Amino acid sequence: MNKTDILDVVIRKLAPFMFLFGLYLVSFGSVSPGGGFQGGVVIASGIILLAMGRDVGAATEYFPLRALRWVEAITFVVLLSAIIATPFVRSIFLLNLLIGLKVAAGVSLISLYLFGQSGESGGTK
Amino acid sequence: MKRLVEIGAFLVASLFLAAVFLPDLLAVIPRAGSVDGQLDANGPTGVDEQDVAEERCGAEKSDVADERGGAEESGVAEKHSGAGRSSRSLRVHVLAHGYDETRAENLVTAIYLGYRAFDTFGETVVLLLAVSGVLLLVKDRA
Repeated sequence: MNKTDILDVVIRKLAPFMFLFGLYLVSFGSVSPGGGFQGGVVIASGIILLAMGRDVGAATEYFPLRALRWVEAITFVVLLSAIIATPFVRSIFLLNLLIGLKVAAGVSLISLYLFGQSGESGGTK
Repeated sequence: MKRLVEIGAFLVASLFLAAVFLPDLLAVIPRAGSVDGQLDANGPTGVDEQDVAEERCGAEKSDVADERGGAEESGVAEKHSGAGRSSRSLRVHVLAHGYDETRAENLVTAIYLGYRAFDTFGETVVLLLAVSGVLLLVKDRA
């Protein structure tokens, strides 16, 4: 499957706006429609767009799999402690941010691993 | 042996979570059930919310009656109003006290990160399990 330059350029321009929109959804989740899950999925869809349109290696260049795994694991522990501390420290923004990071890392990890498994090029390093 | 340690850690963690969250849950549920009287005594804003809720219930009921048509929909409407009555107090409670109790302007966020934060955490556990399952199956790339 050959990919044209048009696709490459469009995706290079489009992906940062998807990250920006995802960050907006995450950070304004307590005020407007959106939230951690939705914003995280939008961020992950930007990463998936990079991986599908260009290459899996292009996505893992900006978001290494090792970093994504660490974000997924550490965010889980921090989220657990933040939710336990909810009766004492109540910060909706912090919870939204943690959930957004975790969902973005998790969904993009699943997709990148599956793309790397099915693709012919060993892009996932 | 290692498996036993893992299972024991899981049990201890879940017991701790239950001990932390069960009093909160038990405190919230009766308060939400008995909020109608409080709102009546509270003042004009509470009464306003209740009126809005009542109007909404009436509209739903008439819609149902229009759709179904015939003689037996009075029973359906009765049933609907009964269901609305039991869920109305919770709705009024969230409308009236949602921001004060959770500090979230968005009431959807107030529910899923305020009242049901533990439930949301369970959803993220589901995601973590999915990721670890994929990592287990696609292990040679890791």
